[in-house]
Amino acid sequence: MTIATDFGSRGGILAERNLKYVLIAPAVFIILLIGLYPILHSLVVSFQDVSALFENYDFVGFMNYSRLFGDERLWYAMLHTLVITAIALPIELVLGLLMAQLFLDKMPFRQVMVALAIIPSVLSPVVVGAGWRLMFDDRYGPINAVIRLLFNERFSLPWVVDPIAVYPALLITEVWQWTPFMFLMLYAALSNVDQSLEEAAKIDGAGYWSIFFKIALPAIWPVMAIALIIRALDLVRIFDIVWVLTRGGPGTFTETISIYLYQRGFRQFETSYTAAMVFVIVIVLSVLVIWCLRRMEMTGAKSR
Amino acid sequence: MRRDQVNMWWRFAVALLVILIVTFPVYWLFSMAFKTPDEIFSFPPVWFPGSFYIDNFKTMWRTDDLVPVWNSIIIASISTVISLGLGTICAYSMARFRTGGDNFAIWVLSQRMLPPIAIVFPLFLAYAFLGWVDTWHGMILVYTAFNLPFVIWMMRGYIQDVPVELEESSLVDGCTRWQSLIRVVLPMSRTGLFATGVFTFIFTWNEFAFAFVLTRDGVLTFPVHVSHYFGALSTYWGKVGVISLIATLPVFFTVAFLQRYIVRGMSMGALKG
Amino acid sequence: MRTKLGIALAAAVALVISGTQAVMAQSADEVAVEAAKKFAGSEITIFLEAGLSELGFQESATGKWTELTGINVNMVGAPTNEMYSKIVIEHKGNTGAFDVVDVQPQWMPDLVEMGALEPIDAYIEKYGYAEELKDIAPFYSGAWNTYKGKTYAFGDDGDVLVLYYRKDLFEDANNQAMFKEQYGYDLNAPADWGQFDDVCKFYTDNFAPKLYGCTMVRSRGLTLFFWMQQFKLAGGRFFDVDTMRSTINSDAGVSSLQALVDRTEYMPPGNATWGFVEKLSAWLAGEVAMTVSWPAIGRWAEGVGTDHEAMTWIPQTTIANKVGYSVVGKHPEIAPGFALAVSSSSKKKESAYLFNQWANSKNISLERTKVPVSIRDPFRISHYESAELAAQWPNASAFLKTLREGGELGMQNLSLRSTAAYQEIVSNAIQAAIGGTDPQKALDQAASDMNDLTDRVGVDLQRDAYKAWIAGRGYPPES
Repeated sequence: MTIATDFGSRGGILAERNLKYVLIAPAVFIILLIGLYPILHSLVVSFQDVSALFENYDFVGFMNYSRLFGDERLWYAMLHTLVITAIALPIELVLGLLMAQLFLDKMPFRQVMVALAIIPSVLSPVVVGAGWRLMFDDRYGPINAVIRLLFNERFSLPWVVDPIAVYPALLITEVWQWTPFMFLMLYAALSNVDQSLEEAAKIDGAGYWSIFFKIALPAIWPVMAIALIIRALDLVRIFDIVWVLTRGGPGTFTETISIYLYQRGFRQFETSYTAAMVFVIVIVLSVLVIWCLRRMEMTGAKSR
Repeated sequence: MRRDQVNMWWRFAVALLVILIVTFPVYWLFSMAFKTPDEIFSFPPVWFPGSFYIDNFKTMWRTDDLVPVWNSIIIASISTVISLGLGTICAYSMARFRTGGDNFAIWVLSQRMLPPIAIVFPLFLAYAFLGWVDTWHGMILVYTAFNLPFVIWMMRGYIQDVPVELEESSLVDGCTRWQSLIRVVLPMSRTGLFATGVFTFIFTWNEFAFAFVLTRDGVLTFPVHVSHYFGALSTYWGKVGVISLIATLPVFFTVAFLQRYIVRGMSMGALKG
Repeated sequence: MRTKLGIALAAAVALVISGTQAVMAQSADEVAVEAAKKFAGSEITIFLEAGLSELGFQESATGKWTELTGINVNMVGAPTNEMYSKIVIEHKGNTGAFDVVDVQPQWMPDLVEMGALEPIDAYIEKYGYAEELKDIAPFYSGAWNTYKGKTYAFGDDGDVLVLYYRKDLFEDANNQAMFKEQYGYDLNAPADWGQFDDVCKFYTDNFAPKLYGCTMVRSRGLTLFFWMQQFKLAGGRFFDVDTMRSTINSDAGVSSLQALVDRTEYMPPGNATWGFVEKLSAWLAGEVAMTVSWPAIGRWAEGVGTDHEAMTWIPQTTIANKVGYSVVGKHPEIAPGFALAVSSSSKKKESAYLFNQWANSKNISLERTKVPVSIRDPFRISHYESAELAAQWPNASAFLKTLREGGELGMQNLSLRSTAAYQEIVSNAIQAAIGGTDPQKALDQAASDMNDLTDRVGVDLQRDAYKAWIAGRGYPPES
């Protein structure tokens, strides 16, 4: 990460040894209060063989973990999640960035329009999923009605069950609902960019886009990187929209990690197996995130 | 000047188009509040409600349907305020002192890697033991914990953007660390605080898995309640439309009104001078 | 003298007898009310399906119960799909939050083995409910009420999947002539799935897009009940009883799944994604000639209760008085239904039981099936014979007759250990096939998943559960 200046180590006026720990203490306390027990419980249980139907608290070693490797469905769920994340994330980033840039300067009704643009995120995912399901409906939905009107009046496509259309349907919904997140985060970051720099560049004759890429983008990079990571982690956990739109179907064609966890942990109550899955997933994600952070730091530093 | 004006109208036109596309599905959902069931399920689709059908609103007001919206507002507001407060000071400490280093930062983030669906069952067992299931503080705490990693990381980013020099000079001028945090760092990162706050609220507002398992009927939240409208043999589209419309208003107005305090222009220069 | 004495004696005897009769004649609901008065001032919590079920209880039962006994009733709802999870979680947390749980009978083996439900035989005896319990139709009381010899619940909702068809279209002379010409036999309510597909195809081919032949629910979690019926009728079996290896990928499985997929082609466009409400809308709009469905659709098609303010989501019916009732394949699927049980972690079991007895009793359950918002369908012999229910719309007696006969010949929905998990597997296969996967391939996958699951549950354990389910009429009676 780009740590602006490490001035704890400079000593002198800012060296307040204990304050820094006092500042993080309450947050750490709450995270531990809520997060510690579930993690410890899951960790212990992942080495046992417990399910809601058959409670066996004997330790069975790595049995659950070794079973994971033979579980094709888990690997497919990871693949599906990866596909959704890899496609949705850049689209949301680019659209969010463009929208942020678009609304950055004064225009009529800007406040209202920004507020309107946020609404998709405010709607409950259950409602969004069901709403889009109805929008995608072949008979009652407006989307196919428009396509029929514009292109081919015999057009027929059951979006949420057709393997060809189901991922586009999911991605459209997902991007629609969460682009506002990128938009607002980047909008906030962009409006913090020192305008004197931009004006100086303008006087030097730099164009709109060149200012954007040379001054604005590097300046918002730290925030953008974090927003990307947060969004990526949320995408990896994607559940509600997929659940309501397709329930992971057709078959298990759109089953994501969270949906598979739900099926295993919450429908079949295979508590131990689910716990083992969670740990493997968190470890894989942590490694990925650490790797990403390292890379972003490098590129971030370069562009500075 | 003229070029800027022309530019602005172009941007305005594009913005209008973007907003139209973004809000069409919203319109479609909200329009169900006013459509009759025959209009909702009509072939070809009905684009505008024919009659202004307001039965749905009437039933909403008479029944308890709006209580969960209220519950959600309370839970989301309080937990947003707490997580913003605690998260920001934590982020400040991390940004300025590198407290805990990268390992701590990643540990914090790892809390957001856990799918709620996976940890909610053990959490329920703990809550059942403590008697916290279906209580205000139980829900506020779980959402605060759930949002802290987000707030900490976002605010760390925004705070890093605040030039250290400004803060140093305030400290030289005799501010304490707290005063400098409140008078310099927070105002400088207020847009970030605003954006983070809005989405902290939204994440809480929309969260389903925790709310589903950890509430029954006492502090039932809006997303869980809305899921009740989708029965095996029934879907109250009208009610879904009404409640979504009503539940969207608080965030809509907050964003619309608070924005005036965050528009850019009042940046470094203003503060330096 | 002697005669006088005799008369006096006889009178005395008669008095005693009539007195006991008066006690005997106190109905189960009255007994429950009397007994429950000692809990006045307390509160019980019912866990049930959110939405109409909740509203039905509210309008016809809970308020009245409070009025009669002084016991407050609190209702917690959840969507049908999430009910099972919620019951299990609350049980594992031993929270005692729910006193009454409304369960789907297919979960009984799991819930009972887990210890989540309280055996209620002692209460039944104590409060003399045995007699009225016999009035519950046998197909909604056997496996729905008891497990391994103990009683845990009262069957409380007669869900049987029968055929609804448009009499006016079937009786139309032109249609009859056209059908005879095209298919070579008379147009009648289809007797089996082969005929069903012919008729469906006939209407769609000749009248689409104005009219389609049939519509059925295609949403995940509900479609499987329809497939299972056809599968079982075609001779399909879920397992080989000896080895407990899955046999759903047999010819019967593949052909019935293929038929289900093909049938979707003749339904209205988009039907492949439809849930109950979309289907209901098309049906009420008169755009479809047939549907197989849960009984609520029978009432709503006649506009019974749909003017209630909670029912405003139901489109106007255009087909009142035009619907006939029948059964496809003689043995319909009984699924999923609901039964009232007492939670084992409840701290007010007796109070909870009394509410169940009262709500499930002859008198009160009739009220509950009658209220407009109810989705509780007739499940007692006395319901089928009720003049009130038969008078709800002109053809209602035919409806009741079909429900009764359907139930009598019906097959119970699959119920094993870990039922929800098996259903999930079957649903996966069905949805995959609807999405275009080859049925054989989809079912091969399902069979292999089922085998894994059976191994984890335990082959012997599952065999016992499977045999018990078969004994409760899981398959069509051998002819």
